[in-house]
Amino acid sequence: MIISSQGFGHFTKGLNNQDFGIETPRMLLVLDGCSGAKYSEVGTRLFAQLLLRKEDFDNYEKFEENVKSIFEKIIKKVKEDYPNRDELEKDFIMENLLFTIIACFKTTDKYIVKLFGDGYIVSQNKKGQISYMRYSYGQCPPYFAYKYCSGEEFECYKKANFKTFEFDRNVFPKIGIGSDGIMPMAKGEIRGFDSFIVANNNVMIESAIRNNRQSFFDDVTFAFFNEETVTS
Amino acid sequence: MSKNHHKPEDEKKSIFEKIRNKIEPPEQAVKPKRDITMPAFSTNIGIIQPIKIEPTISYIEDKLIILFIENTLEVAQYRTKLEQLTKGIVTTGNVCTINYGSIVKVQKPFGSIFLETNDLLNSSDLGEKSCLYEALIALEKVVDENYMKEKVVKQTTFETEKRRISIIEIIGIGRCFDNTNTSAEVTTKGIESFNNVASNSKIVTKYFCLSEQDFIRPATLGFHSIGAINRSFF
Repeated sequence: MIISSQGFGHFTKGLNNQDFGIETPRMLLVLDGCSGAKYSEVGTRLFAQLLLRKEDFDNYEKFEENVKSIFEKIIKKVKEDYPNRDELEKDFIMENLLFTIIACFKTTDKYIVKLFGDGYIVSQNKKGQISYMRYSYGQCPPYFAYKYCSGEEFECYKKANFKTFEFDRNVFPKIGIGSDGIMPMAKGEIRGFDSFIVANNNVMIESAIRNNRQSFFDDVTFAFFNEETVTS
Repeated sequence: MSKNHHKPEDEKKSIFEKIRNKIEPPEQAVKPKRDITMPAFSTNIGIIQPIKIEPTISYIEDKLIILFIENTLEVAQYRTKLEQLTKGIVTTGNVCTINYGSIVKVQKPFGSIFLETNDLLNSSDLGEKSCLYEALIALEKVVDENYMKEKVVKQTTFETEKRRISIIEIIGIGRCFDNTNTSAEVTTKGIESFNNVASNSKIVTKYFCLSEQDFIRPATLGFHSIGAINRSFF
């Protein structure tokens, strides 16, 4: 199940929903575009489409390699349209490709989450208790695209890798991922939301997000594997 | 001379009048008028009992924040961040600290304005040991002793004002683990104690780990909101 909704703050400013997500039987992917980038919603959708065209795109072992390959391909294709590196970085990379990446893979015995940037991992333990784990790195989250930017402030990203977290399915029967826009759920501000997750009630989850729109300042994308997997 | 001259009054009446009078005798047809100028008093005058007025009861709803802190050398290294974190979270209400190291130390609730003058860590027990499960049992006891317990703060003839804690926020800080070779019985009891506490929707549970590598432990227990004190991506 996956749901993405424009944040109220974006609605009032006339900005598009810059989040995007995809769901397959083995993989969930949530991308959260940078609000300060003019066209990050273009980047998220382009990246997701190109990832789906990769062979074995939902194999967690090949994921990081696939991400790197897509970024390099995109930048290589548009490079000739920009007269120099500075303009390529400033006008294309920084305006289109700044988005966080969270992917959750389902194997026979565990869930594997790969993360580059900020966001949430949502777990349900065996007793049906929901936990919202917040991965946050300050005001400006790290973006994979920074690897392709020059400048001293981006040097530290050149060698940075995806963070990987594993969850035993015997301990956590259900795992979901979300952009940082789901903070109101983590704070318990959306009444009954946790019980909808436990009950796999997709209709109520969607309804809760849409009906409480003003509680979500930022774009919201939330995905988890249903008990019966759904094809995207 | 009329034919009816010598007849009795009764015989002078028509048949209709005779029937009407039998059904509704004239003396009972008209109800006696009540003199509305006089009040209607009961003829039964007894002892007038004083009316007992119950005082109204009003409640002041209060909040208790329980700082559930791992009391080890490892956590003590983050003392400054700990103080900044608690200062940001604890702004109103009452505060209670539970420190768990080799022993569990429970401090009685105090007003949040005194937080700065209170040491968040128990300096006499700063080591490597962390008795998490015993601390969870103590946590349940603190919650039971405080949640919805009423305390009279003002009482007059007409009004009683009571204070009660209707919201509890549990803020855990540390690595959420136990390394004291606790018995299976204590472990089970500790987990059960936390379940009892967390199942109440008016009790909010949060855990701040030293780093995100520790997130799985509070998630296994069932803490609702989990974050990290150390927020470096590298």
